[in-house]
Amino acid sequence: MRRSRPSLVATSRRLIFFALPFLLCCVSGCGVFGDRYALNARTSKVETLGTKVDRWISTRADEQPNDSAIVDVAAPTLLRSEEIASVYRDAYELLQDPIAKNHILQRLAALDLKAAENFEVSGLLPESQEAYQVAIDAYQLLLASEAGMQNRDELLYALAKAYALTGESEQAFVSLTELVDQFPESRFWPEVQFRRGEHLFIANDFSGAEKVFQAIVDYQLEPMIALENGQVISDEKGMLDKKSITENKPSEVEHTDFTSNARYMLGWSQFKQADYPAAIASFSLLLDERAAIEQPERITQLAMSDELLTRTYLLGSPAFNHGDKLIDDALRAIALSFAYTPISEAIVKLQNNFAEKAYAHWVYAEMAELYFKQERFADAASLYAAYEQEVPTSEYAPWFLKQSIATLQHAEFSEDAWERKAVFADRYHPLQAYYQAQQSTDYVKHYLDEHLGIYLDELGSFYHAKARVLKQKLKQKAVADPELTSPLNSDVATAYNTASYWYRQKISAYPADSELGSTYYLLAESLQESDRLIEAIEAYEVAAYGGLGFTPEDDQLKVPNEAGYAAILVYSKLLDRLSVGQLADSSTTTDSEPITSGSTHADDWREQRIESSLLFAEHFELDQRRNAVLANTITDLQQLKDWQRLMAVSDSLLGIETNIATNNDRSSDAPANWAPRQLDPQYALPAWLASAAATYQLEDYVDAERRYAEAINVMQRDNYTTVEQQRYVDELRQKELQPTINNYASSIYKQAEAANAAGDKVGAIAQFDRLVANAPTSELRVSAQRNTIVLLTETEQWQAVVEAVPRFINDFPGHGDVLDMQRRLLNANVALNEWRSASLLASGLASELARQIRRVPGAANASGDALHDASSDANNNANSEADDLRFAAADYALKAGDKRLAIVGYQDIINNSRQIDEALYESHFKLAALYAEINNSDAQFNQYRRIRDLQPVDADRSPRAQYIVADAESQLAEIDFQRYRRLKIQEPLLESLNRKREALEKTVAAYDRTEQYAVEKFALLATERKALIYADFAKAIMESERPKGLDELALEEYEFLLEEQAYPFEEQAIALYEVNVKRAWQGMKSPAIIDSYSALSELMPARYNKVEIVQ
Amino acid sequence: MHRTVVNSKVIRNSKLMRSGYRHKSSRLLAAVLFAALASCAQIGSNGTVDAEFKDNAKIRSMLSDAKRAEDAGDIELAKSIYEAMMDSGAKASRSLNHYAIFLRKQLEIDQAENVYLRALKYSPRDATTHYNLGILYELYRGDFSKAKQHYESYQANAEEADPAVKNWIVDLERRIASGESGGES
Repeated sequence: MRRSRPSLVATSRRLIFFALPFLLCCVSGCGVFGDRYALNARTSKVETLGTKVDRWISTRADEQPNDSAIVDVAAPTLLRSEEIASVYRDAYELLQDPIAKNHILQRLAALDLKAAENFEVSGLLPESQEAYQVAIDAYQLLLASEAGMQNRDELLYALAKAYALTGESEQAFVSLTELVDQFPESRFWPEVQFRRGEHLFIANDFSGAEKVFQAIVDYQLEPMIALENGQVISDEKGMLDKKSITENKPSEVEHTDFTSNARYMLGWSQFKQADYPAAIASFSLLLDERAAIEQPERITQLAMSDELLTRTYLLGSPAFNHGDKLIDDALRAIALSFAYTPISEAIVKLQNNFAEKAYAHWVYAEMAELYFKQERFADAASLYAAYEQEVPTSEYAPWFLKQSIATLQHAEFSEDAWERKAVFADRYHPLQAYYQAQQSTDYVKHYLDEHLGIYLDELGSFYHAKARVLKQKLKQKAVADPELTSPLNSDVATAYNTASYWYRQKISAYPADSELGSTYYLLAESLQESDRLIEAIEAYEVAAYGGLGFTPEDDQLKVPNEAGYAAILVYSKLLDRLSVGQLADSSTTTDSEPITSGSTHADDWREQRIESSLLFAEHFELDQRRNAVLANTITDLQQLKDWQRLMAVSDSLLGIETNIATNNDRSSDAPANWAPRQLDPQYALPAWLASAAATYQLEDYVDAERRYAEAINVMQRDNYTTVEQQRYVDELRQKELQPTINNYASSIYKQAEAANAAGDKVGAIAQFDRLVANAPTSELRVSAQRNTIVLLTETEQWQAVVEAVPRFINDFPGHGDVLDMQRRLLNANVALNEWRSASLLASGLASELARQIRRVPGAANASGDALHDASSDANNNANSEADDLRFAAADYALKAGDKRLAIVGYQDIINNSRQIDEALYESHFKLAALYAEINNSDAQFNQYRRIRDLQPVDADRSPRAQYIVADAESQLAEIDFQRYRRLKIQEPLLESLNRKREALEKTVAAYDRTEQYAVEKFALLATERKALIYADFAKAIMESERPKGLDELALEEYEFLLEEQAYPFEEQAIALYEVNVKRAWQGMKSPAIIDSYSALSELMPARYNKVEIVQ
Repeated sequence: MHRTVVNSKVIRNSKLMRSGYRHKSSRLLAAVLFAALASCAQIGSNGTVDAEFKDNAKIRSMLSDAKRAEDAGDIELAKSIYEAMMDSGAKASRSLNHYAIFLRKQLEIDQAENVYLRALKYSPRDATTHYNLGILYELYRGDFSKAKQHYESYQANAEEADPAVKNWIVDLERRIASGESGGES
């Protein structure tokens, strides 16, 4: 509380006389100034000049042995004072010593004065006035007497006092003026001057007062009477010698207090004259002096309220009534001196005059307080801030900055207040030099901590909220104007960045703060919103799981799982950006690791999301999002192809015990302890599918089959408890059921392949059969059925093949492997000796191939050479196979004994023949043979003729075709031969001879053609036949019918002629036989050769009829 | 001396003979049967006694069976029996000549030559073998020189020279002189 200005203009002089010394004494701590000084003076004189008198008086006064007792009790009763006065009067009458008598008179005057005061206190004013007058008279008497020349300054002082107490201030001022004029060295000089100054000040003579107070201020200690333990030290003339002054000077405190009062009044005197610089200088000097005395008590108790702390912190500040009224008023005067100075100028002046003063904070605070009261809030705030800026290292600097903030807040200058708070938070951060320097001053630290924490929280929250508002506005704008695509502009980003900055400052300032987790969460949120995703992730994860010196268990963050989940979401956002190829920018990067697009980098982030997700699942088992997080993690692991971890996560989610699925049970049936947890299908289904795919990749196809089966079961259920679950499953079923069935089938298929690779073809067949039975809609069904047939073929399970192939063709009539299956069916029938079926199948296959060849665009339609070649090759191959199949069909018909079916087959070959080749020759050959078997010689020989006519004799043929055509030619020659043999030479001779001769020539010509084919067998035969014909012709000639009527000689002549006719033929026959003989010599073998030897043995017995000797 | 074609009994229907000689495992049993039927001594058709080599009963039996198969027209069976006979170590000129003639009839001239030569190895002075080999060389090989050589050996080793053979030699000499030749080796 502030007290009122000094009552220097009080109406009562009496009151003034007492009041001012009282106030001054209060400041100095000396008690009642006037009384004490007077009594001390009296007591001193008694003790020094009238010791004996006083001791004597004491013995007279039973209960008052000394003056001190009288003085101390201040003569509480009139009776006692009168009794003492009576004693002094008695003593005055008895004593002869003038000095002693004078002393008694002074005592009596003092007692009168005291009695007057007592009357006045007791309300006995008439008696009081009478007593004062008695005292005045006594002192005037003394001054007029010779004795009054001694101690005259004292007497003048006492007289002035008496006047003053009676209200005769002018008389008192005269006495005092006489005293200072006549006794400049008097010990009363400073006080008397002070009373004179007061008198002049009250009389509005501020100039005079200034001079008097200036004189006091300028007063040197040397002439001053020193007071020490109440003893007055002076020479006999009442003057102080140098030695006594030096040795008995008053205490520095007393002198300082007295000087300070004079300086105080000097300042006011100057202020009253509007000499503000002089007044400020005077007050400044006063404050210099007081500051040297005042040492604000430091209270280091930490656990204090803000108010108490502030009081303690700024003890001595006028703002908090530090108790030194002199300082209070000096400060007030200084403030008032600046009151009309512009703030900027005032700050400069303050800086020049006080910035380096130890009490500068008093001045700044007082002035700021004044401004505040005058509602000059901006000036007040500026002034508070000015101190903080001018004296930044001061221990009071934070308080001033805080006061500046409070003032701005009071004035609702919010923006400025936030800026100052930011300055406060930055400057007094524990990591900053100021805080470090204040470590030993605990109360400063405590003060800083209390406000810094609040400010950091407020700053973070403020900018966070500001950013949200800005963002919301942007969104609203974006709705209004769709062309605004980015909801984040620089203002929003700046606000979020600023918020994150303050959250970081809070964290670094108070790493052990109980709400550190929340701060990390808010930091992460602001980082996320400003697109600093990597940093956001780190902050979220610290909030959720600890790190960077933070332990979540110690935190009050109620929902660390929210932070953990948020981290996962930010990872997803980051990955989304990478997936769309969004390049890194400064807002999404850290200094150490810029984000770049690319699969490898994305995989790294995906890996980190997995780790974060697993942490989430581990820490927050009861969180409802745990299953969703794990499901997403499974998807991530699938993308990374990390099958082992994927299995672990899936099994964890599905509630499958570890290694159950991958134990040694290779059966496709579920293990006994296979008990998956009942899960929401939107989690179960991805887990089943992904884990199935993983086990498939790990080539554990048994487990994969199980898991795919579970997935199929989930998808096929239609009794889910919620509509959402059912809708999810229904939608997924549309897209995933068939692919899953395919994968399920593939798992079985792989088991079949493994069995086959292990040589277990029967096992493989069983697996394929299982696939067909369990996944009939699978696209692998066709392969399974096909492979089953292949394996049945390989294992020669022909009957099963015969049953399986028709089923395959029925199930997949248009499949590309139908022909292959038909071939296998053909092979099975062949193996089973089902020749007729085999023939029909082969024929059907051939026809099908022919149809396919016709359907496929031919080489002529091909535009490119390569295509041309490929198509041509394919056609050629198909044609070739078709030809083979036709042959096979005919052959199988033969084996079935069905000659007619065989004939049809060979005719089919001939009809489909595209060129003259060996097959064509063979077909005709076989047909001829078949016709021979069914005794259809016409058809048989027709085939021979067709064979003969296929090509010219000298055409280039294969050996087999050459053989066949030679055979055909031989067979046809045989007809001529038989016809020739049937002809006889008989009457009419010439005609018959000519016919036979023509037949001979025709037959020989036929055999000549046969020989031209150079097929050994038929060449030998032809040679032998020709020889036989010639021999036969010779024989026929010889055995021809003899003309009738020839006599013996004529007959002999005729026969001779016949021999001559026959001989050349015989010779030709022998020559031809010998051709065969010579062929025999060359190693040829043939019945014709044997026949030739046989014929020669008859034709040339001397040479050829040589028979081995046998025993 | 008989100049006759082999005329054995028909044994075509003998399943035992068919299978026995077509499968080596049964040949031993057949050989035992043949051996029991074989005679102990052979007298050369030309009156010479081949004292050096006489096939045992087993081989003789084989020879008999082979001839019967041959006579029956079962050439394959006959061939298998002859081969078994050879495998059994037939050395006697009679056995070997029968086999060589059989081969000649099949126009297996080279094999026949070898069998004859084998016979001459054991019985180099066997006139029959020289006679037969001479025919083989003349008619079936066209090797007139060798034919002449063996005819001459026959003439030399026979009890008495054959005038017909003498003419054959003359004919050959003429044909050789005229440069007529067949397949001389």
